[in-house]
Amino acid sequence: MVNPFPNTPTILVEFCQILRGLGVRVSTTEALDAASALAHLDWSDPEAFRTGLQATLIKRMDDRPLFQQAFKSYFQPAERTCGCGGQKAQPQEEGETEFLFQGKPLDIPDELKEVHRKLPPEDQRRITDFLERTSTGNKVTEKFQSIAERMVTGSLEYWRRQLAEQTVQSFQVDYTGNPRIDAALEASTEALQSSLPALMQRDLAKIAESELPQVIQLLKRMAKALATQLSRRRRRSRATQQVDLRRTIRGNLRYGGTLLKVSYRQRSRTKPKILLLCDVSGSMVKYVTFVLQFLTSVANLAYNIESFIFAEELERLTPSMRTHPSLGELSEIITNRSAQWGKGTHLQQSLVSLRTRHRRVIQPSTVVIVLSDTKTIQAEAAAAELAQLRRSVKQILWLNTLPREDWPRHRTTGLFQAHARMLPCNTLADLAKVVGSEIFHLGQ
Amino acid sequence: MSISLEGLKEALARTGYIAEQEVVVTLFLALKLGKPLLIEGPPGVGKTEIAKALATIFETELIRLQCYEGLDESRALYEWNYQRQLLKIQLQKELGGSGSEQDLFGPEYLLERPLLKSLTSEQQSVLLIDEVDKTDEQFEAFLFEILSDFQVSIPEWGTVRAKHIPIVILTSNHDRELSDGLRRRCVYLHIGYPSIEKETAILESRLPGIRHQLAAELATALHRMRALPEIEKKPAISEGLDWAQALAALGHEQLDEQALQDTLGVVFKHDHDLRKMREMPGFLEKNDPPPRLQDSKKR
Repeated sequence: MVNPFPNTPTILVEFCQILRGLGVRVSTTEALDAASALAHLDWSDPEAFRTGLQATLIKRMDDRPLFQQAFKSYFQPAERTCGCGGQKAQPQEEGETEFLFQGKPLDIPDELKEVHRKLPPEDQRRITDFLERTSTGNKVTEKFQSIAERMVTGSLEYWRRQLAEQTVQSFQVDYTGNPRIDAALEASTEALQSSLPALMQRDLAKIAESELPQVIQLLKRMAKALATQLSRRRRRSRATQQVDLRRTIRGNLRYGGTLLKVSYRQRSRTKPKILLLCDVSGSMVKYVTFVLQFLTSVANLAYNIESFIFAEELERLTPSMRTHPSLGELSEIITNRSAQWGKGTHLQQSLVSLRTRHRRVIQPSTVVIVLSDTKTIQAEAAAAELAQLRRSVKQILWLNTLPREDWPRHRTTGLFQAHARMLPCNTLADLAKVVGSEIFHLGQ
Repeated sequence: MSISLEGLKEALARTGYIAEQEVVVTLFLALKLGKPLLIEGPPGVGKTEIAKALATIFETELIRLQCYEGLDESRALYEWNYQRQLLKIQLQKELGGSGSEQDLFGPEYLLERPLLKSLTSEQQSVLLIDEVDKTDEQFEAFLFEILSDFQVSIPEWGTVRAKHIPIVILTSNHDRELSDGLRRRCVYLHIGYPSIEKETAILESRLPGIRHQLAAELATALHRMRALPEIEKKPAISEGLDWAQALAALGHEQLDEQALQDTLGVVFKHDHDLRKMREMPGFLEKNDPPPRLQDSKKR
């Protein structure tokens, strides 16, 4: 067996660190297994070598693309190096672009200059070309400098938002400080950005009509997997059952009282109550239709769900949900039949309506799930109303459709976080995670 | 287990199991490392067949534990034959025989279930823990002890160690996410739906009388059907085999529209899928390349 790597343990440890950096859980036992596996394989066969590492280090299908990319980046690296030492490598230092208007520098904040440096060359050029053209235009005087300044600042602000959005979709990578490992990590991350499981990671509001059949299939699969678990959870295993003495004695009378067969009894469980409050203002319709359909298809099996939509006022949706509408029908119900669709959000007023007009749905065992981007008028009053609601129910979960990275920029998020457990619910992956890790456990 | 990689590949082929290199290498490593092999993948892609093939290759017993909701230790490991013990007590009482309490916990009163049977087997056996995702978390945790140390504790007997460490194959359809602990103890293999070429070879291997042209047509059609996003239950390899047999039984020598309509019920088992396929006249004529499969991830 030919060993092309003179320092196998180091290679293996480094590769495991790359995988960990990409978020794959690799334990020491698994690293040891990989080392043992390599001892049994012919290293001159690259396919066997790769499969050996994959079989011992990767235990989830979801992690396989990460492994494949890490393998490619580490064992078959392209000709590039990363000079990072513990931090993500910065884009190559280039001479700072001077934003000049008729030879005079424009007053552009440093952070926006940084945004400019991060842009692709053609977009960078577009801005500098614009400045050049404007500077040399006919009858262009110095007075136009401030206009040019505003134009460039506006354009760079736009790009800042775009870049921030891309960052949200990107991988969170833990850099190690070892240049070799970080180079492979960076190469893997870049390659993986373009191959992210697109639909699962995409903002729900950006899912196109043409992708709906795929999304519906995904939702169904996720719902099926989760519903199976929910129904299973409700059953108690025999180990925790109690002997049913009455049935045991009755059943064994036929054997002359000898206890040949033992009967067990199960403890009955009550369905927890879920109260769903969905914000249908502005661009919320897609989030609401996806979440409503998913939640009701998963949780109807085990929970009692009361659904409301709100914008300026509260509107009960439960009767419409009883017919199990499809995604399209649900969207139609919200946008056409509801009086609330597209209005501004007034959470406080909606919560007051809930407290006064729908008093019976607020019970100590109720779990309230609010689906909203937290943008509302009279936020302080709404927070106070939410605090009051919190005292009357078991728990409040807030599914925030804003990406988690944007939360600090919205004051309202902080206000409501004080009274509700806030979770991101921006993508299908978020949705599956929220249902799997939070709503799934409500009955326990 | 003294077998080479090439030897394993040939042996698998002899049993009629057509395996890709990845499957062979992973299986080989599981055997060499003495670790359980966890196989995931959609239903009907040959996960269980691997265990059967191994039992054939090593000429050993296949011990199968079919998992289901509510499976517990007494069904999986061992159970005292309570009725027989009671009978013994009654007989002793009536016939006046003598005996100690220990006599009631001898091997003749122990009902060995698959897990214990695989540990006490006189020769190395193949233990198939099928559809492990159907069990609950408690049972999964209980499996840890067995899969790590290949020993179990029976209070009346003490620790029972495996005479021969069995070859353990666990399969999962991914109905439930398995714990990290279980995964860590296993070598992992994912089997997806086969390529057209592989499925053609499987059809020819399992149905020796089938014409190559028909096998290729069936494999292509199955591949395209699995790629349709509207289809909920993708046809498995076993359904492809049934389909070929159904066509043969009806005397169809090639796959045309009539043959397809006659036999759709063999391929699709859900009303929704059947309706969708019937709403696609001319499915076979369309030669556009199938969209990229997403079957590998069930969730």
